[in-house]
Amino acid sequence: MISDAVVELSRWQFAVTTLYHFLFVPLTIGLSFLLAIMESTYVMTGKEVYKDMTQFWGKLFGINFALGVTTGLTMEFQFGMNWSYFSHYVGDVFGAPLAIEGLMAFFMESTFVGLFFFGWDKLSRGQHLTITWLVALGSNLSALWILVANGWMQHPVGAEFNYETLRMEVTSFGELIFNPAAQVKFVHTVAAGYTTASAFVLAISAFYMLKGRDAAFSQRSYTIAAGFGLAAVLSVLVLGDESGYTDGEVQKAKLAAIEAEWHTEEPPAAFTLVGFPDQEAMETHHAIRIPWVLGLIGTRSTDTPVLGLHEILQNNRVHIHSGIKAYGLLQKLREGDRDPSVIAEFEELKQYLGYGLLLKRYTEKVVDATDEQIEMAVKNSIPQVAPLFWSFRVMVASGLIMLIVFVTAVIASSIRKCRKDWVLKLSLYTLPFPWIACETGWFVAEFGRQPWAIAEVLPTFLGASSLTEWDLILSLSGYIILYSIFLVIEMFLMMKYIKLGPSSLHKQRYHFELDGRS
Amino acid sequence: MIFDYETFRIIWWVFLGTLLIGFAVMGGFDLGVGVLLPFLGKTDEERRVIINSVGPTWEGNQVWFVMAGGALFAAWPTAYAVSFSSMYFALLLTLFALFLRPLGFDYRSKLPSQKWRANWDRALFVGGFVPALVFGVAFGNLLKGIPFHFEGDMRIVYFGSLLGLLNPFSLLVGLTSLSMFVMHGAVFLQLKTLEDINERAKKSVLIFTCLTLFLFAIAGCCITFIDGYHISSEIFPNGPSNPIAKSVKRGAGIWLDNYGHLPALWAVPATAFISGGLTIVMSKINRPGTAFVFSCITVGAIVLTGGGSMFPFIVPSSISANSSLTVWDSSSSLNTLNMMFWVTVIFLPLILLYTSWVFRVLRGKVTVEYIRKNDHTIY
Amino acid sequence: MWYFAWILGVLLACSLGIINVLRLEAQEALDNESLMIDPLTQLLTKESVLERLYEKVENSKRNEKPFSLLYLSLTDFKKQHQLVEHEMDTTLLKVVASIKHDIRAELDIAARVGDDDFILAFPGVSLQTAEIIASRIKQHVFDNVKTPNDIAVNIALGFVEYTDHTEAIADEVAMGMSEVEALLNIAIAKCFESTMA
Repeated sequence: MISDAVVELSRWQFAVTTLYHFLFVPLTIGLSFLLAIMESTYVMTGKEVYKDMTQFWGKLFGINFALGVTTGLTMEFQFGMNWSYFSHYVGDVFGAPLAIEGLMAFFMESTFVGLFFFGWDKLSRGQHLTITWLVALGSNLSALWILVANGWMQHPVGAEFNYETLRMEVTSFGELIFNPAAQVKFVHTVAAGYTTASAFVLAISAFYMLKGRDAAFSQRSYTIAAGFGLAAVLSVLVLGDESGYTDGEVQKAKLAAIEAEWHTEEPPAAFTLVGFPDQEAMETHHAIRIPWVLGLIGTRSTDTPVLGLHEILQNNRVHIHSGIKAYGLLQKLREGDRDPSVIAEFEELKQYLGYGLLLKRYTEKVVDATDEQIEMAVKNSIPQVAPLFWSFRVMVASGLIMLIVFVTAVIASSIRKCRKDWVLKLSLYTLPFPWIACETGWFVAEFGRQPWAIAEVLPTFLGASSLTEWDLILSLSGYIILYSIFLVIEMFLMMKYIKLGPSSLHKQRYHFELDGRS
Repeated sequence: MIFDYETFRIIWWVFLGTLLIGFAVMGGFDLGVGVLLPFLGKTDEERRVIINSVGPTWEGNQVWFVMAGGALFAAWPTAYAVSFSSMYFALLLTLFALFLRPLGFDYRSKLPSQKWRANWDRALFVGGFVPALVFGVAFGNLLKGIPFHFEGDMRIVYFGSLLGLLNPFSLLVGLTSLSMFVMHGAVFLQLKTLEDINERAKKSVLIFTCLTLFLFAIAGCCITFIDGYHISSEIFPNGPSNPIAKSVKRGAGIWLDNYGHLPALWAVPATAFISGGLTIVMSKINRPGTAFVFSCITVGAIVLTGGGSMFPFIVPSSISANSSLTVWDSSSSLNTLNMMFWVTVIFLPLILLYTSWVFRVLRGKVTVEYIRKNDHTIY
Repeated sequence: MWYFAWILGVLLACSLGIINVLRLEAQEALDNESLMIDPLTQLLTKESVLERLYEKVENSKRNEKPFSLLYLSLTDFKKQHQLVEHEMDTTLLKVVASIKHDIRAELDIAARVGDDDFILAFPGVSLQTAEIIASRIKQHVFDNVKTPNDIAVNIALGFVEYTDHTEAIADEVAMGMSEVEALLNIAIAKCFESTMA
């Protein structure tokens, strides 16, 4: 049996590396489109200031992109290195979208990003503009395929367990690609990226305007970011709602955990705004509840109930018993028994095999599980509620704050003289919120799927590689140390270029170079 | 399905080989340039010339490496799982070294401080050196077999260590690949630079091509002594992927069996030597473009020799030979191979098309004047 | 279905960004049109330039960079050489053409105030640089511009720098005068000083 410590460390390592990777990815996804917009405006109007904007924000894009690539390499490697059983068990399904990500997206993005920086003098305006759009498209398509993969982890459609190869195998790629979980997740995540980039440009442009620097440049940057950002934040919120609704259909335990819905209420269920969820007692202390809201938003009806955790646990208990049976049948099949009745029974029960695997944490043989062990498995078959409850609310709150900011920004950029200082300051202070929302969002997505690596198919603990504790301690420390150093360097460079502003282009027409006359 | 399972498995072995060769040819010269950076560039401007010769295209080239890993995951998931978790520390070190590259290229010239730049130059050297070496070390270990086996539920258990990976044969293969990439990088630099750097590159081409062919020959001789693997039970090329259902025989020199079955296979290592020689000739007579073509062929032939000798094995196991992963019993399902085949057939030619267009746009020498003129926009 | 929504959404969002900024461009173009322009020289008039100058001083306070003002006058020159109206006009046009070489488009401000006087404003420019620019303008005009009766044009100029702590205008500002007016007074004064010299 794999040691708990190794599993825990592997999980921490994956969480740390993923959250770190996602510090840089949303900015890449969104800023690439903003650059395309700026350059399109340059080609349309012929005004140099838009070329300057593309090149300056492009510089910041480059600084950020470097770390996106760096941390992305880790992700590619980590599935094989630290989750080798996962890679074997679901690789047939999971590997394909990752490979398509490489073929369709990475090549396009990485090949053309070089020309974006180096090709200004070697390409016509139209050619260079096309390249910028292709870089944006590449980064977004890359998000698509990795989220198809992650969507499959949350809702494993289009695949079946094969007892001869002991792994999940694809039955329908159409189902895999059009998985509703994947679709919603993709649009929500890229919209979050657009919002992040818009907030980034908005805040920095506001900074320049507060300082009375490079007015023409910063006003235009601000205006573009405000328009694009409003559309983005609206999309993110709409798709956030859609995500919740989809969870209600295909990941009921996650929704129930996020909302601390301990028991199935009379529909339409009430929404718990704040409170202190208690997993042991299965209740939320000092809860402030708003009647009907959860039912209306989560199920979009007044009579569909939201399944509570208590009921889910009861269902899981039944599933686990079926899973134990399925596991027993599987062993027979592996030993060579090909009796048609055994095969038929297994085919019927194999959807519960994952639940049977939950017992592997306590006993290697599974079929000999004691009642005590089964109860432990049942108790741990749902995620921990409190962290999910709070991180979800932080994410939504951040999203709503950003909505307000973008609305004011659009109004301010429309009404000419309404470029008031308070609006600019608000825009400036919004800067951390998209990152807070992105990281809490991913936490909700992944922590909410526990104890599963693949929902109802493969428990997380089972997917880890059989490494030693020392292997993990060394690699985890290595990542933390290196990543911290890189972050410091990146932030240092980023701050330096932000402070310089478009003067860093050395075109003799911006803030720091106004005094130089030859 | 347009093909049967057996054919798809062979096609995917070819695809994986193509991607690995693609990485060696495309990403290899970037790695080589990184290694040569501190030696062929004596001043800051010279180093910037060298960096900017690969600057615009290195990122696209690295995707061949990412793609090879991705294709391995998609088409041979168990092989991906076994090799990546077994060679944990080797891959970790490679990963850490690879981290230094995007930062090194993008950040190095963003500050004028000489100390800053010198440190990043060192980082770029490490970022070229370690992956180039480990690529060969990993390949060498594949040839020797990795000490892993499967438990009943297909859980992978590994019994080796980092030092185990650094055995003499694998180190030899590692040095071969390092030398090969440096040779390739040197030819590229001869193509892209002028004057002093060009002269130094020419010398490096000569040194490293000879070294590569020499080491390659020795490794080839060693193959006759180390254990090779051979499937001794009946092969079911259309059967489901169950690696523990077969039996495998191992013995000294068995890796040369394929050459016995198909004597034409000797053409591959022969090509490596011939095109290696032609690389030197073309470099000497100042035709670096042609030299580069021959260098690509040399690199490809060397990698193909390794892969071709091992066929149909992908990851042999040195402690439990029957658990070895072969083309026939560790691939993805027919559905996956089929779908991925079509995606690859559509996108790979497209990729080759636009990649060659990008290289065409960027053709020509990188000069010191160009560096000075574009001080603030390039790397 | 959400994938299609994404494609549409991205196009919509990009359009929104572009439209928003094109609207800004249109607004600015409209503002520029409604600005009062001197019909002869196509430079700003006194009314238009004052508003711009207030903005530039405000900016200078925020970004802590200096800002320099030049006052040019050809009134004395006209009197001295007794030029007629149309001769003066031609000369003025040539002078403006010459000055344009030293002005940065979209950054610096140029205005014709009164018949033969000009204001030039240079955001971000310090006193030393202003001095260099001033002498360069004077030299260029002297070298390149000739009146219809072939006399080299000598312009009178005075320049002043505004920074947060410009002492020269502190008293006036304290008494309620705006920074712009105070600066103009100094520049005009210096201009007349140079004609005396």
